[in-house]
Amino acid sequence: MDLGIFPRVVGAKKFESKKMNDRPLLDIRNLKTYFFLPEGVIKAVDNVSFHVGNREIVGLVGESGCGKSVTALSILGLIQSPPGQIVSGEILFQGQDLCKMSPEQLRKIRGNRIAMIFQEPMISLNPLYSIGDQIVEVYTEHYGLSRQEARKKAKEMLEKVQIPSPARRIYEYPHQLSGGMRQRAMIAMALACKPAMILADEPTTALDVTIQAQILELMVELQKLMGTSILLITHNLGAVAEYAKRVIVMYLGRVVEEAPVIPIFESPLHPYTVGLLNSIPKLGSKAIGGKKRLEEIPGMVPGLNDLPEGCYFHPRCSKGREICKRKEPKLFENQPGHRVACWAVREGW
Amino acid sequence: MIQFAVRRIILSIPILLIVATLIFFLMRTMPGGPAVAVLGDYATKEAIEALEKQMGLDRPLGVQYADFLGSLVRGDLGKSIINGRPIAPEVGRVLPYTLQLAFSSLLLGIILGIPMGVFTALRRNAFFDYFGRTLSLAGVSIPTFFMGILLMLLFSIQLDLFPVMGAGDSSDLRDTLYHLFLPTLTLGLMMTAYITRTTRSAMLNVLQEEYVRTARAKGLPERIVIYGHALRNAFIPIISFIGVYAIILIGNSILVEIVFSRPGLGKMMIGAIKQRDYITLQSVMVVYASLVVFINLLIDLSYGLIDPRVKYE
Repeated sequence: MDLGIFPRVVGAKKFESKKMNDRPLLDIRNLKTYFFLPEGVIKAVDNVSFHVGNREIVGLVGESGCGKSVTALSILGLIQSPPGQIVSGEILFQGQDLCKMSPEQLRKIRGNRIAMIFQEPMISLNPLYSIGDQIVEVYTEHYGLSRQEARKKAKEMLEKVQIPSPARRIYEYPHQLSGGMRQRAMIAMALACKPAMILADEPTTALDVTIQAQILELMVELQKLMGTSILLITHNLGAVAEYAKRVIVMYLGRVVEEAPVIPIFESPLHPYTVGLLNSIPKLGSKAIGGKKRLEEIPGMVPGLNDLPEGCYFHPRCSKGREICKRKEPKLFENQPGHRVACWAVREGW
Repeated sequence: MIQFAVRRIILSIPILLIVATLIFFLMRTMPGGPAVAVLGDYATKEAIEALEKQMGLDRPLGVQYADFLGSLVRGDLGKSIINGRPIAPEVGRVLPYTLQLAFSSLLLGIILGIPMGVFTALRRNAFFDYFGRTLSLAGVSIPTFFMGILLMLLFSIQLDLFPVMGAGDSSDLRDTLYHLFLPTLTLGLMMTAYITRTTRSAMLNVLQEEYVRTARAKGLPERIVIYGHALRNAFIPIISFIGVYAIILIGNSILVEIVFSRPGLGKMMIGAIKQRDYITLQSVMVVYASLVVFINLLIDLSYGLIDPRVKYE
């Protein structure tokens, strides 16, 4: 059954069953994406489950190499194979399992219903195509528009992302635009078909600090306008605190904590999340007095091909006990909506 | 673009000047000098002096050099020592044969090499890739004269399909193509091998690029991703290498002209060497050098057609 059969008017809302209303737009269940390399199997995404609701902004945070990007690429079916492969799990998008779709079915969803914004617009845009042409392609492919109609739509889209004089910019090439403008063009391309879901993979990391806020503001503005959901993949915790409704924390391919944004910043449970938050420089009395040093998480992130037994975080964890070395902690719901995978929290050490 | 072309042509004048100078002085370092080269080791002193005077070799070197450059500027390539006929018209007569051969081989190399390079890149490490790579390694390694003889044995002797030698009647297109086939195949297969290898590695590089992933994330069909977004970017390194290969091609065309007894610059050059006709030799070398400079000019101009970042200012 599809949500789309119900008329989207306010009055109709009470007739929708509670269950259907709650069905998330994107529901990832036990996703495992492994890379089979000569050196061994890399478990980049290891049994990850989370969901993103309609019109929801969810932050996916963690250090580089924790599997954030691989998760996003798995959703789009863009894992390079070989060596990568989705080993098991389900990726339900509007109730349909993307993992079971044929490449052709999945292609029709990519860029149309689910779009992606990449980290570095300079290298993510094709240097030999004008930005207009790169947006036009999306329309000619998914909407079957003529080039002329598509060009008109592309111009409208550039206007929406607030690129000045779009009629001229449409003919310009990526190298002729500034970093911020390039990312705006990238956003225009991603939003072209009014997708239900945007995967934003570090959308501001490569930009100047002054531009970062502008781009995020723009994304959120358009998100509200179009009713899109966003999976905001980032290590910029400030951006997450500002815009996300819920936060998912990943460490070495596993989800270690998941909670609404306020609890995660006010009372983080997992020692890794605590460490992440403590390593943000803060302004305030403690910092000004010079009494408190910026904290860091001790130790190194182990290589994905050299993972410890049990909880992956135990070698760096101050609360670690014997069981952490042996047995992997499963996610459990500590408070409604706040899930964490930690023995210390579970056992109340 | 036209302005750029004109400027590049002007800039190539110093290059040609240096090449002509090098050729001129190299010729003068032949043991005993050109006159001895012509008359042989047992010529009398008087005979040598008389010939040197006749050839203007008794004049100071600077005068000879200025005279040589002056003639070149006027398009005068001098007169053959052997028969006294002007060289320029002879070059004009044989040059089309060499150009025909060079361009048809290059075309064959591009038509076969680029698709093969793309396919081997897409089937990386699969059977077709190993097969294609082995074949192109062979193509690069087998000397052209040997390849020419092999093809001649197969197509002319065993199958009796194509002629062994000559260029045919130049006014008859069918006859020209008929005679062009085997020499083109010989050089073209070598070019195919080179271009396949280059295309394969260029494609493998480009396929790793972020913008190819973006193209896929947009939901474009694989056909457009590969032949639009990826291959177009791969063309930039491919074209640079084709410029280098064209020079290798010209060098090898000399051998092919000899093997197939085709008229052409190469045959003219080898003839000049055999007859110790150093004026002809010197002129043909200058023509070859100009050809290489011209190809490089074409390569530089073609970048602008595919890469908007290239500016001709």
